[in-house]
Amino acid sequence: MTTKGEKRIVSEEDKIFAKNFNIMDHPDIPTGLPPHLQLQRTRVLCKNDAPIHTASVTYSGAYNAVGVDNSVKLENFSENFKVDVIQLSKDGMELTFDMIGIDAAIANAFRRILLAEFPTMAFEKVFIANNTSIVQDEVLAQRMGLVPIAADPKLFEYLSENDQPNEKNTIVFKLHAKCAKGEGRKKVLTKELIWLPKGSELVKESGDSNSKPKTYTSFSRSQKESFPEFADNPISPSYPDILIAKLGPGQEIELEAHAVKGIGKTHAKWSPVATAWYRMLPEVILLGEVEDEDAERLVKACPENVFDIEDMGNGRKRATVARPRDCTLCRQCVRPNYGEEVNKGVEEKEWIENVSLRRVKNHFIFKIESTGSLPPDVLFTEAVKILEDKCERVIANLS
Amino acid sequence: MLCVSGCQLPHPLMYKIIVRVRTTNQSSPMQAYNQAINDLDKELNFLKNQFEVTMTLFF
Repeated sequence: MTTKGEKRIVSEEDKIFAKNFNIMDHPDIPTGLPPHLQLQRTRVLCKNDAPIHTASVTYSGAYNAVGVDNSVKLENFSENFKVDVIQLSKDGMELTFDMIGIDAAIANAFRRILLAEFPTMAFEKVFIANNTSIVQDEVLAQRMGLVPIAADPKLFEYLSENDQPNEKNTIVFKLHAKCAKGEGRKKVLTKELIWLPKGSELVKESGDSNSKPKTYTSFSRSQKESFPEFADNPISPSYPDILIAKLGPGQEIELEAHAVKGIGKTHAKWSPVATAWYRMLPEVILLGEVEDEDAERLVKACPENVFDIEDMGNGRKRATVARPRDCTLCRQCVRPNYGEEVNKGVEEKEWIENVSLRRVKNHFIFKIESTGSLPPDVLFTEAVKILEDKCERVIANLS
Repeated sequence: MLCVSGCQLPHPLMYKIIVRVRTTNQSSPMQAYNQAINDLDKELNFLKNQFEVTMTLFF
């Protein structure tokens, strides 16, 4: 304590200490975001009526007041990003995998690219020579368009309006199905589609009888030569047992179908996935102890068996969260009386506040179901490449 | 140093998005935009490599 008028002597050590002092370095002061802000930033709280905190906090200076930098940096992404493959189905056409550390906007971008901007081959022009079945021409053509073809679209080029259909941009298939009189109803399946590697066989009518007959395509070589992958495995539809039409006795279908490359945005038949979807990782937290009878009712209420009973000893039981990943947000665990029927005379309680249902904002569970042209992991890699191409196109156009 | 950035879709039937970028005197908006897209490109590259590594490990 200094008396008034006396000078305080400050040593050099004290000056250096004062210069380097930062209150945040003190061990008792918490760094990072306070827990309630961290909850708002990283979790979607699924309340009884609607989810809250769904939008991601994008502004880089949002937490400046607390001294935390919210900007998106490349190094942070590289450190925190992780991919986990969960399951690949037996036929290799359905893939479930986790992506941790990305934003909802990027996950949505991949989903949209897989659905709408990924090229595939599908039937566009159907030349019907003879159709005496009860399925109308245009209905038959529409059904043919939806048949998935197992051909890698990267090998083919787009067919624009000015181009001639040639072996680089068209795949030709033939279908000739007949049901003889006296037979029963006959099903026409996709396995009856025959690939024509040499191009169309239907002859275009022309007045000139001396020149070579022109067909609807101008193949210069057989596709078996130009695409060595197809020399031994002929191109065929992805599944041989898709029903195209049914024929009664005496009915016949004779047609030729030409497949071209296109994207899902033009028509859904060109979408390479049956569907591609994602959900955020569910997190189920018990806000307090749920014991004995309440625990039993909670475990019984959940249709997905998310909760489990744990013995505490002394014959007392407690509920724990065993499988939060299976939670489908049915909210049975928070409904009054756990959704059980209310007997007359029993008071109906309010919404039960034992459980907090949450979603982790940057952890996405993706599921990709391919229709057969490409396996799902190749589909996803190509989708990332398509997004990268878009970035490069923007940069090139700006400079 | 970026001040504000935003994007707008003037009409849902017209295939057009307006992106607006405003910076301080220290950098130009073109710089900021280019850097953002380049960073996104690098992130996507990293994502693709991680995915491929994980898929090969899975098989």
